[in-house]
Amino acid sequence: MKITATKISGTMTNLILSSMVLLMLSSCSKSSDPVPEPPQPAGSVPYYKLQRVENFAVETDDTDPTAAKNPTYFSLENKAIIEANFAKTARWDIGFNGLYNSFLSGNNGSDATNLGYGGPGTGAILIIEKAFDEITDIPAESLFKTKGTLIGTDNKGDFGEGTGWYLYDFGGTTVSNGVYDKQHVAYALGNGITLTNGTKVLPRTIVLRTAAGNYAKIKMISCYQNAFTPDTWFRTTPHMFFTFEYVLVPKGSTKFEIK
Amino acid sequence: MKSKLVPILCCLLITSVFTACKKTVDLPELPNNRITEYKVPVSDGTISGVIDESDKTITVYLPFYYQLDVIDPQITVSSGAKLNTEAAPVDVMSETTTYTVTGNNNSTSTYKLKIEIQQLGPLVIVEPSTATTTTGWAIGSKTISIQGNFNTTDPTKIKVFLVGSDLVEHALIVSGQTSTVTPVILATGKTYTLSNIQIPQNLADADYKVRVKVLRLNGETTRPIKLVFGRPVIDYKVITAKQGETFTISTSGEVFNNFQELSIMVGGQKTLLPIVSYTRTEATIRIPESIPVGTYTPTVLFQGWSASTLNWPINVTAK
Repeated sequence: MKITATKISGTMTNLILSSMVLLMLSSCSKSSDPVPEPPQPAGSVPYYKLQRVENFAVETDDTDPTAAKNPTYFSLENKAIIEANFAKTARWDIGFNGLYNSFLSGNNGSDATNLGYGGPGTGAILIIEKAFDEITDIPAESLFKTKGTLIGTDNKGDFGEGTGWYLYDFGGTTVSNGVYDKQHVAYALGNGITLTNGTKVLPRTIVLRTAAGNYAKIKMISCYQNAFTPDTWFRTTPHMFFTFEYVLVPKGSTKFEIK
Repeated sequence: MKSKLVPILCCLLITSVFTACKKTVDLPELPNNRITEYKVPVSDGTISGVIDESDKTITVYLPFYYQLDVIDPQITVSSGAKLNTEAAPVDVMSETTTYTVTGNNNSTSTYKLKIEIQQLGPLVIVEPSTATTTTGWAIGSKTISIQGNFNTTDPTKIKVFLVGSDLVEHALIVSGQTSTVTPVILATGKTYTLSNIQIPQNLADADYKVRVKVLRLNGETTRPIKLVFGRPVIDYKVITAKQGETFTISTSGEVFNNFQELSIMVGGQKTLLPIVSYTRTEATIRIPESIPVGTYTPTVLFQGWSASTLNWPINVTAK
């Protein structure tokens, strides 16, 4: 009996103790289930919406064409020009510098060649020989490049430096018939182009990781003022006025979507 | 003993049920107009500002090697409070930045920002002159170099001044495009050479000390340098002018001084084009009406220097 009584009282004690622990643990807890929220944009530009920037102007001096001009900075997240003094912040996503400010780069604070070196930017950039609409997958991280002054003239034209977003036609014969007005023309390759010799140059699309780690794909359309197709580009057409379209998707995405 | 434990535990249980979520101590209300967090993102993480409520300061200890021009802080305030102005990037040399926070009870508090740039000092400049020789620098020259432990490769971070007997600082011109900084490892340590900086064209020929400022560090030479008139340069320019008219030439580098003559060869004969007037940076030259139409290569002569033939043409057209 003694043994039984002990067992009963022990069981009750355990029960009460368990109840207490349960009560104490649960009395102040909230039971609402977390509701996943849609990702919030880092800036004012919403995700998944096609954006267009027209005639983004940079300093140009044709009398001294080889002299590098001051870098220019643009925020894709806020669709705004960022002042040069803020180079080492995460406020810009794409830098324009080098010859005629025509070389593009992301904003990366860890790469000594980058315009944002020392700052918090985690951006990078790459270029793909595919049309804007055909780029649906976000490339592997290992393919992105953090260097500065990276993507500009294409090897299919003069003074090419790898795969570029534009083709420079020094003599006017690569794309046209060599007439004076078609010399020294820079052909944006967002839509690709057919050369004089019949070669088809595939469209180019920039893929960029923003300073905040989101992704953008960019179609470079023109570097001439209010002129958006190759037939309207001449050596005297006012330049450099960048026109491009892009879409942002949040960090962690695997696909580019436009909704 | 065991049987007595049950009622005790019951009492404890009841007590815990009724008291678990109840506050029994009223704490004094905390001000809700505070900055609770001040973070500065950098390339390898975040620097946290030190918030001192006793004197309402925020101190950011910023290592020099980030070479930042500005900090772009992320500021957190008390629940329900707000900053009176949007947190904008702040120049790292700023000493006047403040933040005012308004709490949800409309009380305010203002914090002063202090940016402590952590630099390696002292700043030591390699003397351009020696005990026996005073180095001469040409007024207007764009190719001046200065060496020291600047600990930066960004030329715009190094401010160089000439300080004359009047103790006024005259800033040398550092260009973000043409000036460069080259680090070199010497037996005595790492040093940096800032090259292609320009002497202002309006300075007097006299002795000056060289003073350098890198962020919050200052250094100065003990021996002076001497500003002198160097061999003048003339900017490239294709001149086209009519017979009897004038044209101008200019310099963006070493200035004009004792400009004696500008001549061309006409029919194998040296022919002077009269110098109407000149300043340190510009000269007006006249083409006599007798000069035949044609293209000529000019030669200039400044006192103290040999004559030099220029590499640009003068196109003389009919009047």
